[in-house]
Amino acid sequence: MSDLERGFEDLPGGGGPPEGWQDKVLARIETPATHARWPLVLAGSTLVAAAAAFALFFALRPAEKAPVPRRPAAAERAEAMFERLEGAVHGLVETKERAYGQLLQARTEAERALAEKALEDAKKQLEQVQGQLMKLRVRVPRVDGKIAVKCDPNDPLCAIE
Amino acid sequence: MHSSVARLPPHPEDEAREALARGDHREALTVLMQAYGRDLHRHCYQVLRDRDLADDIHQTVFVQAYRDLPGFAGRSSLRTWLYGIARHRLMDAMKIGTRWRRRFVRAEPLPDAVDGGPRADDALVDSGDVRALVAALAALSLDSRIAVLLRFAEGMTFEEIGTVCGEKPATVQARVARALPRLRAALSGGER
Repeated sequence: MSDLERGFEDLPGGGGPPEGWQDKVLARIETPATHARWPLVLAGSTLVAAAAAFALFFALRPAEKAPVPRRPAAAERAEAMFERLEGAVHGLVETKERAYGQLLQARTEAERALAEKALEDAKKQLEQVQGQLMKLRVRVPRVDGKIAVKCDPNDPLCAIE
Repeated sequence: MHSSVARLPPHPEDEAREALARGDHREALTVLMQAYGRDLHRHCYQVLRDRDLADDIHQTVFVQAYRDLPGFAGRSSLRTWLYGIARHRLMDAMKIGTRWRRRFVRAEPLPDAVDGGPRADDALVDSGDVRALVAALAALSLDSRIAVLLRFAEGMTFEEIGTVCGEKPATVQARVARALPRLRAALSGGER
């Protein structure tokens, strides 16, 4: 046997485990989690309290006002105006053609004068509406096919003539 | 006719495994405590050289073993498995001790590089050689100290030590081989 092996044999071993150590171990395994449970309970209750406070905060917070839909309202108004003027143009074109037809079919001087006046009125109205339509086309810029309005949406004249 | 061959008592490993197979973890723990309790306590004490701390860790190892027994996969022996748990607890204790000493006893050297002087328990050791060996062991790193003690005090193979330490047998063998010259030098008076 070498000196080293003899040395290890003679190493102090601490005198063995204390009396009743096995009972202590068995007692520890039979009373589990008394100290391990409270941090868990503490963490759980803290989590629940935090969740409740969070929910309460959002429940009691005053509802934010819905943002004013500035651009869509103005754009819709401009779009509606545009459609109304286009409809008027179509109507006046028909009126003008009807008046022209009456003029061609007039047999008396009175009928001819009446048809001429109707034709003149239709032409004037058509020019007026077409003028409005042209201005509207110029005033309403479009971005990606949508009407982009940058004026105050509360202004009744916003984006329309 | 009665057999003339005396029946051998069952090996504690087999007895504990049978208890485990029955689901009787308490019985398995009792067998393990009776079979390995004393050796494991000696190991804890020789690593730490602190009787109270060794007592505490020794009991903690078995409490943890009881909790982990249902998950014991059987890839190693229950003995090496217990020593593996002990190694973790010993390393924890040394880390805590190191932090404590750094904070409160700055003048004292760290436990992994202790002064080598005799402690209260070592005062019982008369032999100068053993005292030198204790001091040389204390001067080793914790990993090396555990590996050397498992090899020479507990008589484990390098395979078993590798399992305990979670490393390859060759690694722990090299670690022990590096430590041996220092221990031999201590015994031959080279470090005295």
